[in-house]
Amino acid sequence: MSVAVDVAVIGAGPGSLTAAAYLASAGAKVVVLEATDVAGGAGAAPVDVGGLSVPGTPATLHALDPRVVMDLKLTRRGLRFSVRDLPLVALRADDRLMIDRDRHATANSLAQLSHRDATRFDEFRRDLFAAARALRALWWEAGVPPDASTRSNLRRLGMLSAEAMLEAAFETEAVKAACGFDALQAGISPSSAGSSLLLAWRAAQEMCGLQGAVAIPRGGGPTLASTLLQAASEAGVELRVGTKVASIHVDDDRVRAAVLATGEFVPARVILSNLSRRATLMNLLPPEAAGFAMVTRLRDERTVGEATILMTLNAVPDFAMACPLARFVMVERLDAVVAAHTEARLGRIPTEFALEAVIPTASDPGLAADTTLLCVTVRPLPVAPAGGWPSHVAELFERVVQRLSHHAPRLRSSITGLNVVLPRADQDRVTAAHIASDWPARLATPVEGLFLCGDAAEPVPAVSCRAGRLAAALASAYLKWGAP
Amino acid sequence: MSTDLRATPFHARSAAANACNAWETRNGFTLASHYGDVAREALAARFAAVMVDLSWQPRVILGEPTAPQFASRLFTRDVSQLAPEEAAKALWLNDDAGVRGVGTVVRLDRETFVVISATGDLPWFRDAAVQFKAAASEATGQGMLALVGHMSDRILRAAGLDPSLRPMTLRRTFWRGLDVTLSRLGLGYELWCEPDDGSIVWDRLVAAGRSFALRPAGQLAMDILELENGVVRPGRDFAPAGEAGGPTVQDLGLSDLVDARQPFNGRAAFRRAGSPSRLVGLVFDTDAPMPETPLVRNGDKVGRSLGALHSPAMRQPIGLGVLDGGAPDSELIAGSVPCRAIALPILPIPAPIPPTTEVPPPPV
Ligand SMILES: Cc1cc2nc3c(=O)[nH]c(=O)nc-3n(C[C@H](O)[C@H](O)[C@H](O)COP(=O)(O)OP(=O)(O)OC[C@H]3O[C@@H](n4cnc5c(N)ncnc54)[C@H](O)[C@@H]3O)c2cc1C
Repeated sequence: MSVAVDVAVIGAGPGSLTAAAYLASAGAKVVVLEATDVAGGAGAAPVDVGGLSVPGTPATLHALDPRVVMDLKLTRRGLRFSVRDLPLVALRADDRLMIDRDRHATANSLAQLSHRDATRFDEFRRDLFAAARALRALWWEAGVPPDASTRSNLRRLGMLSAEAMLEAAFETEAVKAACGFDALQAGISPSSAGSSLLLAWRAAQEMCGLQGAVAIPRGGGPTLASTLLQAASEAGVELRVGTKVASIHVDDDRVRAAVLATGEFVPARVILSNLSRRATLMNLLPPEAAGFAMVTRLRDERTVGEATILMTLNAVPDFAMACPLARFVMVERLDAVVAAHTEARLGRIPTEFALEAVIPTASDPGLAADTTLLCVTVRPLPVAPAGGWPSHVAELFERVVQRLSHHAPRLRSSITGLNVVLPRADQDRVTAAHIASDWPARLATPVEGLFLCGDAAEPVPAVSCRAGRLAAALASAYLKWGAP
Repeated sequence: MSTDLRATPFHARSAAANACNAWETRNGFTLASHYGDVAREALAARFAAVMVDLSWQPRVILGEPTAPQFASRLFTRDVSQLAPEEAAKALWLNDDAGVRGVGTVVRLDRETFVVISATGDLPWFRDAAVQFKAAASEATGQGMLALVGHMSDRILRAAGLDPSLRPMTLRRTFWRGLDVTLSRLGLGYELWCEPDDGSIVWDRLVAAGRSFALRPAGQLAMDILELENGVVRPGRDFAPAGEAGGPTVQDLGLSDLVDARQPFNGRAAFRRAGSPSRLVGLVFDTDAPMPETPLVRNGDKVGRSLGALHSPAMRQPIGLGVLDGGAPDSELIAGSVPCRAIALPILPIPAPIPPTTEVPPPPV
């Protein structure tokens, strides 16, 4: 048995490092237990692409909590952005649109297809951003009751699908499809009730002081991880890598210790888990501790996810020649993506998927020397395709390269390396109700003293660290006053 | 549950005796509501004996080597401590400590339990069993005939069955060519038999009971007897909880069926739900009020009523109620009806004429 701590944190992802840093700064004795040898979570470990070690996913950030950046002094620790706000370039077979923060540039671009949509877009974005700002009361802080108009907005969005929202707003397929990409998150179909909340949630985020922006961190994911690690270790957090947690010891309906794979007990008053709710409650707890109904609900795992294909190229792809600093979104039609979602849910690689390509080396050449790094996010994909992923990876590469080649005919011959980050298994199913619920409902578990602090507790899974900050607040209150 | 009506193993005999054709359905089974006179049937248990078809009650079998571990987490009492052929009354709760069911858990052998209840709840048991790698399935087809009343021991003896059995136990036995199980889990004895043996069992009991004024009784008489004896039944006396929320143990005054020293599903929520309340009998001066009517003492709400009906033995409406605190034996107002709260059972069935052999005390 090791020394008792106030807080044991399972996994060293961005959420848990944030929570650990906050708790240790407040005087708690905190230990972080990470199974792998690399702290920082999924994004921190480098990926091998054509013999080159490049930062893993995600290449871009869109949801990082500004309070965490400020409180943990991440900028001073070296978190910089090579691009603060990537415009969106929508590529389709016959058209190319640019959606930028500059409303005139955007209107000019959209006017090629429809004057109505060109004027509507600005109104749409203004309304969405205004509604989203109001919803920050729910999504940014715990315990701030949203006012009546925000609640009614939430109810309205909770019933509205992203598809219906975009159908009502725009007349051209191109605009609907371009805006639809951001609704393809969390394994939710854009046609399902409440999926418009995904667009609102995206719009509520702020990167580098800009609402709804997508930014590229200099140095990629590992930079964020290292700044968080620095903040945590400076606050006095003990980090143990190569330390897999096998179970959580519960006695009298309360957590008592994290039990390591080696059999060692790490006694703790509070345990924070960076893993999914499913993995935490089903795999780490004794079978009865989470509650029979809860576990039955959790058995239903997420079936639709996304993958990122990383490519090294010896030439910039044609579609990015004129302006390489953009998110190149390739969605032909929104309704085709809805159909794709159904295919993915049934375990098939969809006939037509949506792509987003980003070239981080365009702004940060240091990421991969003398090479163009292309990160392509593919949505929606089955989490567990029939026959398993290994038998589908080659097909996926081929189809993605084919799609990209429409807009970059010389791409195939310029590829020097390829790798893929497959959809994560063991993720929780995200529903509209989950996105609209309040923080305590997402952070707390049925077991006293056990809280979630990673993706699972975010309204929409993403690198945000907000769950970590709010889990720390909840854990602090628990350490001080016990269960509410 | 199937929507087809099913017949119990005793249906042929029950139909022959049911001269008024008074039928009802419980759990998909066609059953006699009464055989002509509900009051007489209920009273007969006090002066002689009645037999009642309980084959409709769902029985869920919990099996596999992990069943004891599963059962001890499922129910509010540690039934894994039961010896084979012993039984205990217990509740099962959802995660919020809402009462999903009340039933009798019987340990058949080391790895097998059977849960007898009015509500079944097989999907809940099946889903929960997965976590423990245990199995839950419904036992179908078996007949179960209750023998209730003063003369039941003598009738069993006359029929060639040994009635010496502690309460909450059972015995499997070979009865002149039939495999039967005799148990004492409810108000009297229960005789379990194979589906095809129903008519023989019925006939043998009728023959043995002829000189003891044994008569068949319908479900309505059984409801009266149960209420007089303080038996709470989900679906009749309260609406059972679903996946979340629902009436708590405290809401139903069933804390006696909970042993919070051992872990069970919903224990944390049960502990948060407050202090124990008390299940009492209510005797109404005039008409019985609707369930969930507040019980008022000196202007303060002190509890609520559950199910109620007319007791022929007391010639008065009686019911069950829950008192938040305080002792029974007090005058209350239920809605606008004056009533009296009394300790349970309201009116016990006279003990059967005792067997000659000494019976050890019941298990805890
Ligand atoms: C293909 C793909 C693309 C993505 N793109 C984006 C994007 O563009 N933008 C964005 O914001 N997000 C993106 N995400 C999501 C992003 O990767 C996650 O939000 C991020 O990794 C944070 O995850 P996390 O905190 O839940 O857990 P992780 O980062 O996975 O951290 C969990 C940690 O716990 C450790 N661990 C696991 N089990 C144990 C155990 N038993 N004991 C001890 N330690 C354990 C793991 O090793 C890991 O270090 C993407 C995800 C994928 C899969």
